[in-house]
Amino acid sequence: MKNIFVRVDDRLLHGQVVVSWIPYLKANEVVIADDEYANDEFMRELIRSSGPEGVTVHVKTIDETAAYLSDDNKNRILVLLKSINGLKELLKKVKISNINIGGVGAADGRKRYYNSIHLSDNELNILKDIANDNINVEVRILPKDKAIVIKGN
Amino acid sequence: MINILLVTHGDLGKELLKSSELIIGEVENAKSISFNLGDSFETLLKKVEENTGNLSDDELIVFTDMYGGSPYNAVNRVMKNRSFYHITGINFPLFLDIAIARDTYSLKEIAEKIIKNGKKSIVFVNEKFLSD
Repeated sequence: MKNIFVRVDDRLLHGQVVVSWIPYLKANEVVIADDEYANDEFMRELIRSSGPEGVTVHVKTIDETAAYLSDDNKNRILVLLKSINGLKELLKKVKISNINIGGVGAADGRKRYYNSIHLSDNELNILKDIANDNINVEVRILPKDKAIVIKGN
Repeated sequence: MINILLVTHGDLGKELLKSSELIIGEVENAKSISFNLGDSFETLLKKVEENTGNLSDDELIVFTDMYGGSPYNAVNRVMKNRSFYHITGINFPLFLDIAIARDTYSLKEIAEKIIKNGKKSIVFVNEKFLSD
């Protein structure tokens, strides 16, 4: 699935993504994979309307996203997830070869690892488990940044 | 007087207020929230809620710097339960215009003024001189 790029960023569709990632990936479709927002009509419409011109924005539950990505699709799709737990759920349902960690804010129980990436022990373990499955997991905030690859155990 | 709240990437809004002083003097009843590197979205959201909570919808106008950016997203989130005016893509001449117009115009008139004058504030100078 070369045309799919998955990013964990708790700000979802925002400045860095709109200005840097979407043009860099030449993405013409964005899927926000988030159960809460997919079930909230206000947020769904709000997010759908926030994309740049020429880019279709979908807001789907994790299950819907997995089904959508499994279908044959010629579009260049950027998938955005709010959390590492959400990523874990998505990966149970669909095979993805590359994962980008782009923004995880500070919170209780989380340690700052790099720039705007804060992780709890549990979240770091999830990422290591994913890396163990031969999935490439990189920390990269902007396209021009050097990717930091997370290694498995 | 209508209150102004700016929410921007970094100190753009704070500096916009400071720069405005050079031209129109101190901008009263105006506040700015800066979204800085490393700040979480939740913190930003809380700040926006705190700074809009004590004002009614008809005495407040909120400006953000970029369509689709986090400040824009945070203000829109708050608008789930509110209906104050929110203008995004703020720039210096437009901001000055509104800061002055606050004294004499209603919110609705200001919003109309923004639509009318906003795009005029960006001028391709070479072209203007060539065509005049």
